[in-house]
Amino acid sequence: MSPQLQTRRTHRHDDADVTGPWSILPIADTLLERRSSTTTRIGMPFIVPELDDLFGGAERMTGAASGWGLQFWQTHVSSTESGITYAGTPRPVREEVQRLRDEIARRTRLTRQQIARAVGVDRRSMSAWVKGDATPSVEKLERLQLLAEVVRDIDATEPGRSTEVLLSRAAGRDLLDYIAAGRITHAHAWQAHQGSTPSVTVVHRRSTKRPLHQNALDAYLKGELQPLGRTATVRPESDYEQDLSKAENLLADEPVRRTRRGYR
Amino acid sequence: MMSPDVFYEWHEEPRQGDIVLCGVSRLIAEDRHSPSQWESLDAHFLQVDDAWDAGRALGIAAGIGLAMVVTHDCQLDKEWNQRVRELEKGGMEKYESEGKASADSTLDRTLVVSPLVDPAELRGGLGNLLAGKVIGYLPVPTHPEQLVTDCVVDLTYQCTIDRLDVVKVTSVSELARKQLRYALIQLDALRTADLGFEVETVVGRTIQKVEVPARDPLMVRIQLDDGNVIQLLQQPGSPDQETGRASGYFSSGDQS
Repeated sequence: MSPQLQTRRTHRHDDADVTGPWSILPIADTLLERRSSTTTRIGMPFIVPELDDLFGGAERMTGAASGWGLQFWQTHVSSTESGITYAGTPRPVREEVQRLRDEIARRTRLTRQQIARAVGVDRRSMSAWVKGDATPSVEKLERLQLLAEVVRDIDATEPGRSTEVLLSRAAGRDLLDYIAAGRITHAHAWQAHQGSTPSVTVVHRRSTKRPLHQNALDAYLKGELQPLGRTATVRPESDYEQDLSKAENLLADEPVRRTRRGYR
Repeated sequence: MMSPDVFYEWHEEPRQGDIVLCGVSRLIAEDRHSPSQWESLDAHFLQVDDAWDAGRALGIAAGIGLAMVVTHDCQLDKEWNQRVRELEKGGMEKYESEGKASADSTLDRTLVVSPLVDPAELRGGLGNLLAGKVIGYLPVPTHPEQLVTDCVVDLTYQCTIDRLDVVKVTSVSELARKQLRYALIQLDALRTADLGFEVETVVGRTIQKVEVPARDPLMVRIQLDDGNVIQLLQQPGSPDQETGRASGYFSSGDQS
């Protein structure tokens, strides 16, 4: 062990949810301390019940926890000849959730609702995690991490197609459904899932008659006609039957009440 | 049919009634039924297998064609104008706000168009179709430069397209646009749109407003241009079996 580091055992956490060597706690204890007066907390949300788990390596871990834990170490801790050294400031859970959510949103066109669906929660729950009003369970955080991993993988293999692949359906379910159900193997095998997307057949038919648009098409090909493009027309506000500034207010939740005569 | 001189009138900006060259498409069943009037439009058939996730395919017929923009002017650049006004209210200069709104390619991307078809392929009689007497079809005369030949706009076929994939061919006069609006009303909202005109002829005044008071849904109030109001009241009675309405649906009330 590095002479620069001193490990301190923590008490086994008696939370019923703690089932593996790695667990997330809302309030984490100090795991490693430098011998100097500076105390460094690593992996803020993590706790290692047994020191052997800390130094035994990722091979002891199983399933998603191992992949996640390994990545955590790669991010925050690096090994040197003399042992483990602290490599970066760990993030609290809420920052980690926000970082993952924003990364997924940046790499895809998934809405926050769709991201939350992949995690198995609704949009408000995820917002609460980001605000720090609530803390996700290990399972939920693992799913968010899994989604981010799959997105990175798709992005690296088929840039720009991540949204399409994630939302492609097989047997009535898309990849987000599989991630939400904790089907890790299926999610990582996204190429196989993609392979089962519906096939498209295209049949071309030539018209026997000269089409009505032929003259216009010839003029366009000669450069005599121009695309419509983005050119917009300024119109006075009086042109609109609806006050545009108020229109959005109208679109806001209008209470729908059912009366004897129907909805109003 | 209107003469080309009266029908066509060039306008630079996009407007309702513009004739454009664009792609059009419609959903079709697996037997790829394609009516003869849409033969040239149905140049490509796409079938997405198991799109229903229940062993059923989704079929699409698509092609290039001439089409008329049926979207109302106000709807065409609604979001763009809204954004410009918001930016101006926020203190931005007019040219700057217009530039910023134009740079946003997400605003007002879509148009609804109806394709132009050969009337010889339609039922209803060539003469009737070109005279504008068949509901759902608007006659279009031959363009002075032959970009469009005698045909009708098939308003029964409407599809939504992206304006960035459209070539403007020509635009039409205000009179032609009025004909289009009337044809749209006749097809989609009121098959007997001339009924209102007939009522005006009978009473000798122009109808300015018609309303059904929310608190008294049995009453119809017709406001005339001279300020008089005709109130029509449904006769009370037991509803019949089929429609739930009493016989002698309306009776004219006193003018107020």
